[in-house]
Amino acid sequence: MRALFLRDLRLALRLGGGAGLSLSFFFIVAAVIGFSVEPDPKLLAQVGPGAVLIATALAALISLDRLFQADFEDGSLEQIALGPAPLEAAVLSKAAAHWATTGLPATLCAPLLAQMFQVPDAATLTLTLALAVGAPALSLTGAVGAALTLGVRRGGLLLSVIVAPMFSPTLILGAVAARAAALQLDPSSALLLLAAITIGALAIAPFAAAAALRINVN
Amino acid sequence: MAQNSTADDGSARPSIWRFANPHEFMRLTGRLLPWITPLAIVTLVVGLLWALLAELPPHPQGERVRIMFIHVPAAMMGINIYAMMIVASLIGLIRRHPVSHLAAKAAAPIGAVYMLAALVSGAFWGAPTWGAWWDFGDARLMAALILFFFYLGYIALWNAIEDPTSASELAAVLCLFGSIFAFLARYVSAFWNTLHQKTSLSAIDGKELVDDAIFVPLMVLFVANYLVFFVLLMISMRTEIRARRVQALRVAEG
Amino acid sequence: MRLEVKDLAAFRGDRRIFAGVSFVIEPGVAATLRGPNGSGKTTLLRALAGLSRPAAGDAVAADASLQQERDLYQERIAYAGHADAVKPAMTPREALRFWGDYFDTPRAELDERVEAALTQFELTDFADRPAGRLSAGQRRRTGLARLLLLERPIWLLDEPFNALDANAVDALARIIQSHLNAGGAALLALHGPSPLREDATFNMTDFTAVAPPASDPFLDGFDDVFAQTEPLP
Repeated sequence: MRALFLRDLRLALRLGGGAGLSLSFFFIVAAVIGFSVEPDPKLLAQVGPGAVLIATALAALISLDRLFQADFEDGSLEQIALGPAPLEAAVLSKAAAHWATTGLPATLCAPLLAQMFQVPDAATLTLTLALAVGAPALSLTGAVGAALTLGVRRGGLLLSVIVAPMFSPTLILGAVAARAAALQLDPSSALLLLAAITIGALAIAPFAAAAALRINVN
Repeated sequence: MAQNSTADDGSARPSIWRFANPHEFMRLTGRLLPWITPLAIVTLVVGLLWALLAELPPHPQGERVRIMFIHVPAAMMGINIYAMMIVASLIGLIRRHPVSHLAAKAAAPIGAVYMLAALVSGAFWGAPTWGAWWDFGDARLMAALILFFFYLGYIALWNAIEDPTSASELAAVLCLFGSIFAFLARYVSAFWNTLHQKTSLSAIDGKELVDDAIFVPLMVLFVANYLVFFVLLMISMRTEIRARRVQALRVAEG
Repeated sequence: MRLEVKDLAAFRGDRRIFAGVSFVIEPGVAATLRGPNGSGKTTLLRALAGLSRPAAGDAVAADASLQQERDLYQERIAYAGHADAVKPAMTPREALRFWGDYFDTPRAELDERVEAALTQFELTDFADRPAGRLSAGQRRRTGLARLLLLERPIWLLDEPFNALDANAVDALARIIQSHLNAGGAALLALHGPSPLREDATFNMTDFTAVAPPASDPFLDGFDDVFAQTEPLP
């Protein structure tokens, strides 16, 4: 499984559309949100966490439609399905590589963006923590959407419509945690719930995605 | 494709699964519909007229409270139809009954319209009552909207995949996996409320329901909407089975 | 190793493709699968590889059954389809190292086996050039070189000679022959002439002709449906 993870990571770093581009997209989205609201420090601080969350979700979303599609088209997915490891494990490695090239860089850059929005330090810290525990769920649920829409020609839009509602609990909780911290309340319950969603997705998503892949590869 | 082991010997082995066979299903619903359809229409008309004309107890919202008679059944149906789709998808995946998949497929547009009706009627109710058409702070509204999006995604996936067998199985996987997030969205949005200090829009719970003048027509409308849903579902499934049969005949003829 | 196919049948959606496919491929034999386009050669190979679940029947590699011991069965099969499973951004050496690693080739042997496979398929000169800049034939050879890494006794090859020049066809034929000499078996779906000795030939049309009609719940027992004209209110 390490082999597949490393291959996807290497491909993402080597190709256009990979990690670097995804990170640029993350910054651009957040910046555009920053441009489009009134440059009032108080307002920016309130909008900031939401902007970072939306940018993370969109950066994860745009690279999802190639997650299985590229391997499907060039025959790699067949060989992956024939390999000794269960397909569920392959899904997990690919989702992990997707997270490592979208969610992880976004998490690492979140404090920087939050500072640009003048988000208070406590909220910045909570937001970063929320992304650290919550962003893997985006890649995992996204993998299910990508597997479901594998056989669809130009399925990118369909994928977004399917996946975006599944992202919403994670995004809502991230916003709740950041706002709680900004109001000097305890954000730990929201953070724990975020972690619970990630763990739940870790347990269920590989099976759902593998089931969908089997239907599509068949 | 599942085997139809109980095609014509259904009477010998009385089992509910008999009706999972398209042929049996067509026969049964063909007999039921001429009776249930008028019943559904009559119940709906009676319920709506009652709701419109009944003398209501004095209420701070005045006549506006009548929106409830549309809003509450619609919201209830929107949620319950999704629950029905989960059950149908599970049966379809486990027992591989094509009619079960078709039931989920046929239910989705009906559920989506109910959900939309609930959202729109809710907005028309909320606008004069709280001065806002929409409130992102309210858990119910958020959950209803997200459920509506799930319906749209489900319908879109069915339409996007050409092979009916794969489409039914993939849509079932989406329905089951999505249901987890639909429920999550409900509870997570409730969480949002604990921070968002604002009047809750939930006006229908509480003492109004105790009053018979509201309770009785509401119950009639609940029953009417279930009947209407049943009729629409059956008609839609029958259409779908006929379409699939045309397709199967074309394939058989080459 | 021996591959025995017993009464295999496949449907695609509502459409039947073939049924009653039964044959045996003995060790050392390269069998050829022939038939017109769309006759189900690829579907049969994919079913035998374990990619799609057959509607009926079974396949047995040595003593492992596809239906009962799928994992064990699959460990004995190597499949090379139409697509090469080679990423344009990866070099042949990287691609082979990845597939070797993914298919659990022992780490200690990986380098050695990759180099041997590259040499046998005459890929050494451009082993470090991204596959996107290679010709179709060179990519094809990279995909086929995976067969040598896996060391599996039964090869299922879908049009393996496509896109290969005369030299490469000879090289591949030699490689398949040495695989057979070592006790392996192969099933090749082919259109053109085979550069190998055709020990056994199976024609798909034999299997499609005898295929019974599909049992389709939307087709059976329905004679009266369109006669039903009960008016919908």
